[in-house]
Amino acid sequence: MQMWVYVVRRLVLLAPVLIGVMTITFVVLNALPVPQRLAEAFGAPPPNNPGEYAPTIPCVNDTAKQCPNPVYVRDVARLGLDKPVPYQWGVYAVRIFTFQWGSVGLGSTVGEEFGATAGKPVTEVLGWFLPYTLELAGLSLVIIVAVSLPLGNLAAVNRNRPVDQAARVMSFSGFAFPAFLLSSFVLMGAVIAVGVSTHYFARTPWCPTGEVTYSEFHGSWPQCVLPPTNPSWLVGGFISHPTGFPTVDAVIHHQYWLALDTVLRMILPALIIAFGSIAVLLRFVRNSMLEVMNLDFVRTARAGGVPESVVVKRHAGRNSLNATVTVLGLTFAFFISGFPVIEYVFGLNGIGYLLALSVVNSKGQIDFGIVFGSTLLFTYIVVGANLIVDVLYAYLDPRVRLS
Amino acid sequence: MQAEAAAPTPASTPGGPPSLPTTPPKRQRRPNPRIAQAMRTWYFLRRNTLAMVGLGILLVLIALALYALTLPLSYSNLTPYCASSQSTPNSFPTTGPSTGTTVDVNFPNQLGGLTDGTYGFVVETSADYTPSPTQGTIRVDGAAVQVNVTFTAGGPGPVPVHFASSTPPGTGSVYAVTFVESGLAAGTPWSVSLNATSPSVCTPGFVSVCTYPGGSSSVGSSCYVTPAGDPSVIAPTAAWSPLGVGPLPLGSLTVNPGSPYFYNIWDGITRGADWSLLISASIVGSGALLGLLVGAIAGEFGGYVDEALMRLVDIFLSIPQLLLVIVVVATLTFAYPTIFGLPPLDSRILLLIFAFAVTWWPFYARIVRGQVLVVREQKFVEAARASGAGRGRIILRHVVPNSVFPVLVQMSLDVGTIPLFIGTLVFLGFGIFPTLYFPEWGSLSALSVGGGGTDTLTTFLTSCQLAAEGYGACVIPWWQLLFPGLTLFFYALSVNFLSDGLRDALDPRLRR
Repeated sequence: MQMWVYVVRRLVLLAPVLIGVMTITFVVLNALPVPQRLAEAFGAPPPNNPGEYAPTIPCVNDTAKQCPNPVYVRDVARLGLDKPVPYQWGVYAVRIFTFQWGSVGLGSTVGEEFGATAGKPVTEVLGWFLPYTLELAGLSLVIIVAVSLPLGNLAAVNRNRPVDQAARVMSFSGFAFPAFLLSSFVLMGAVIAVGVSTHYFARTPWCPTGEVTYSEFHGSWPQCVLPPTNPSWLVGGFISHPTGFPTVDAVIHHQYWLALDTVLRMILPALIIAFGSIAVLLRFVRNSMLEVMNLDFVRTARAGGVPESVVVKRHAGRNSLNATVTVLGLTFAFFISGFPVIEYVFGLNGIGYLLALSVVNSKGQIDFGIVFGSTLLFTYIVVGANLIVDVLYAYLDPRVRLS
Repeated sequence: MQAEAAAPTPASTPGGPPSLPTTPPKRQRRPNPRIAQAMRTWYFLRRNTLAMVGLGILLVLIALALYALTLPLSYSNLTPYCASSQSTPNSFPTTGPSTGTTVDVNFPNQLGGLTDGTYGFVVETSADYTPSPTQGTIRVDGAAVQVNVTFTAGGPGPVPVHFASSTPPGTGSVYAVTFVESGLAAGTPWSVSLNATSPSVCTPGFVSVCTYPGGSSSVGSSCYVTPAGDPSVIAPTAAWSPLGVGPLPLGSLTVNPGSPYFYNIWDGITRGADWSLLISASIVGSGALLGLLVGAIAGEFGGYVDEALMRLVDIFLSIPQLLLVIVVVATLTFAYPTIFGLPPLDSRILLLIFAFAVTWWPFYARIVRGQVLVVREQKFVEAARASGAGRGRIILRHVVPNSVFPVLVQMSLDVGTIPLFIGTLVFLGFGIFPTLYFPEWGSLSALSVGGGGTDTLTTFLTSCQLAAEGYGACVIPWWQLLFPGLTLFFYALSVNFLSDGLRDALDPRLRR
């Protein structure tokens, strides 16, 4: 089979997964009462009108009586909630695949924290916050791979020796230590020992000479209260963000120190994420390496007098790498769960922070639009990552696409 | 199979691994192969240091849970305590102006009134007079109180202090307590002391308040003398005591630094053992049961059933687990505050178990299906089929028992992650338990840094930043951050070691 045929086949097989994921969220969504479903689709009502989605309101001519709420009736009809469930599913499917994923509530915590997001479509808001998360995820993935490949090989070669046990304890510690505690401790250490502000990791205080305000959200950058002479790359007090990726934007504006600074501040959160999810990959690398080391061709190579380091590197290492690629997708799905906590603790402007804010229930108002929207987005990212991994695997190991 | 059976039985050397079951002598019931496999697994597990360490920690935690079962305590909420920053009984000596006539000593002036409760008092004057009564109790119960004190000339002077013990305050309203003097010569000083609860610190409405038992200047069982400045921060105390009352062996847990209320960490960890183990066991158990069912059906029936079920599993597995839990828990707890007419606590925990089980079954389904595909091709299943066994019998008697060990490995791994997940949910601000102070390890360690809408860590950090600028003291209650987290960590770590050892012991390829 040609490579492109394989890719097309995998793309076609993607459709049922996308529909299935959407159906699961639809089923869960169905458990909500009607006003919350309306809030999910059209945004939570503003604080001054909490009864916007009440089924009935006092009549205009006689306030003692209750009349049907026209807003409620109209929006119920728009979602097809007065129709049978299959019809509702159809409406939901159309909504999801045309990127109408609902709206951010006006009275929710997200809307309050980031004023610019209130009432905006969820997809647009997620688009603002996605680049930072992707950069963080990429950096964490690089750290995970860079640590677990050599360490896993080392552990396999020195099986049941101190190195192996140390690697095992380390990887399990990362797995067993709650991320919220670890990140809190790190933040505490940074604040008390080094004396940085609690905002340190969150946003780069990049303003050339002016002050920074943290009130508004502008594509991962803080707003800058500027001195009279604006640099050309600052538009209206904040950096223009053609791509939204903070590092890329900084490079586009030729602010290389700024890009470096952004990456440096990302390293600590990325390390914590990596520490928490290194176990999956490390154990897999070790075990697949152990299996390969027991195969006949390795023994043959050894018998033929090939030095042990070359056997480990060339013969066993290369062959265990193939299988390792397949768990990369699994690792990705696992460590993406860590984002809400890490971004919440460090105040990083990513989707995880958005999700963490949306479920804060102190006012009894969960932003269901964000909850469902970000879950769908994260899932589709994982699905996409799995697709890339599969294609990569097929490229590395032709047997996969030939079978 | 036949040739293997004919081969001579490999004698198991004493101390060596128990041999795999071989053909037994005739006319003897064949021993259960699962028992032999379990013994073999145990043999290899015993030689794995880390797995044994894990097993030891786990056994200690289970013992803790069993110990907590014997304690007569409320299981749905941690017991709050109240702090006092005073080291002596809260007495309010009042010196009356000695006019020789009736004089009021008004306690509202000192305390802002007294709340409902019983207070001990003592009257003192110079040696020339004997007050009557010299001491006693007054009961403030919804009305102002007046005590008439008559002094007679000559007497023993100040009497030894024997305070009556106080009862917890009731409503929160305050009433005047007046001591009226008579019989004292002009110019003679006299005083009245009340041993009171300390209403200026402890607001009524809580279970416990600071009380000073009769005759002692040491505080009562539920009151703790705290350093000035931060009344809720109490370091671990050396003295040991059972749960609920007395000293705090692991220090205090506060979620609202600066307020006088706090919780006993040891109390929380012990009672959390019950809840954590129970919740994680029931979640993993129900998830495994569901996965076993789905996986067995998919593997045994094959074809379209298999294809459909496995696609469903794929879809579930592609949703990041924590997010699925968040979505399901958020939706269900919002939509169904109570289910089956149960109390809020029971409904919430049932919903929690359901929500987690929904996200957990696909892992088991996949494992069991793979196992079924292997087992169904084996000769003994073929033999069973040939002798007329139905599908249900084959699944129940052959397939399921043979998938028990891989499922067990996965279960032991998952049991450790559930408190971590619950802690994450609480940390993110979910009200997954009906009360914020629910004794559960994950919830406790989340609260220790700030969860459920509280911001403990930031408060402490702010205090330290202010201290660096010269205001106040930098208070970091390390015990609060350490002990709940350490419990959670050791629990998750021990089951991880155990499941890793189990996997190694069960997988002959990795054992070589």
